[in-house]
Amino acid sequence: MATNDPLARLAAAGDTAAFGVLVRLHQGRLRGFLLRLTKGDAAQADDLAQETFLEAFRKVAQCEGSFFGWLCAIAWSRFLMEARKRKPEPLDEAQEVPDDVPEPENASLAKLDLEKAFALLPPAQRAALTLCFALGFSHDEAAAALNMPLGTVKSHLSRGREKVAALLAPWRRIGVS
Amino acid sequence: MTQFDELLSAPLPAVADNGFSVQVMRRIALEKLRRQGALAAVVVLCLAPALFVFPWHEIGMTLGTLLPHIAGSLAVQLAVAVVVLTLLGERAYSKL
Repeated sequence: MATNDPLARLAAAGDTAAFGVLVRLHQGRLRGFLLRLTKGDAAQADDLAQETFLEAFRKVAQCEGSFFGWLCAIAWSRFLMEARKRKPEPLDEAQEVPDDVPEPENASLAKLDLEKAFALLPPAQRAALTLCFALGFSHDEAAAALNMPLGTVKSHLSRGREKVAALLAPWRRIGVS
Repeated sequence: MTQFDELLSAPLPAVADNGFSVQVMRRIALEKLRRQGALAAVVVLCLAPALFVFPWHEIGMTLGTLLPHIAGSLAVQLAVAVVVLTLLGERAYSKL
């Protein structure tokens, strides 16, 4: 099955300008995704995004389905390789939710706390939640991008959602504006 | 959709390009150049041994005997004359 993206098809035929358009179109979302995976480390996220685009350029002829989904799959595998090199962060085990979740002072800080809550999740849960909620992937698309069985993705989603809910419980009590 | 789901579904923070795309395309251009350089190096490496076994001497000898015949042929002399006259005519015309 070839890609359904006409620009990716042009790029696969050797059109570098078409690939340039793809980079401009998708860089924002890809860097946002990587920024969340790297817990806000912009330098690391940008390095990973550059490597992702370079690998995508080399292998664009192998792209199948949605170009952005395929790009996220490359980014995720690059992130995993980098994470294994850097430090032994558990990739899919649950981390403890701290008991001392602070009471919110101001509802406008909800998104900031959401990012903090995401940073406490294991990468697989962070990735699954980001793909399915913020980036609008279906469960099947997320499973393909993360190279995981559908059931595993669903379980990451459910566990991650529960954990974020627990971390944001104070917000939910006062209602998030 | 609950308020919590809405919060989770909020778009990711916008990341400005700030020259990122240009940087990526620059690296891609460099990579293409490197790839072409590597291809050229492979071609040269493959051809280099052939240059050593190429019959240069025989070719030189053959050309040495053939060239006077070619130069003496009427057809070749006419063709050269046409080319020279065309070039001279073009130069004269461009000065007008």
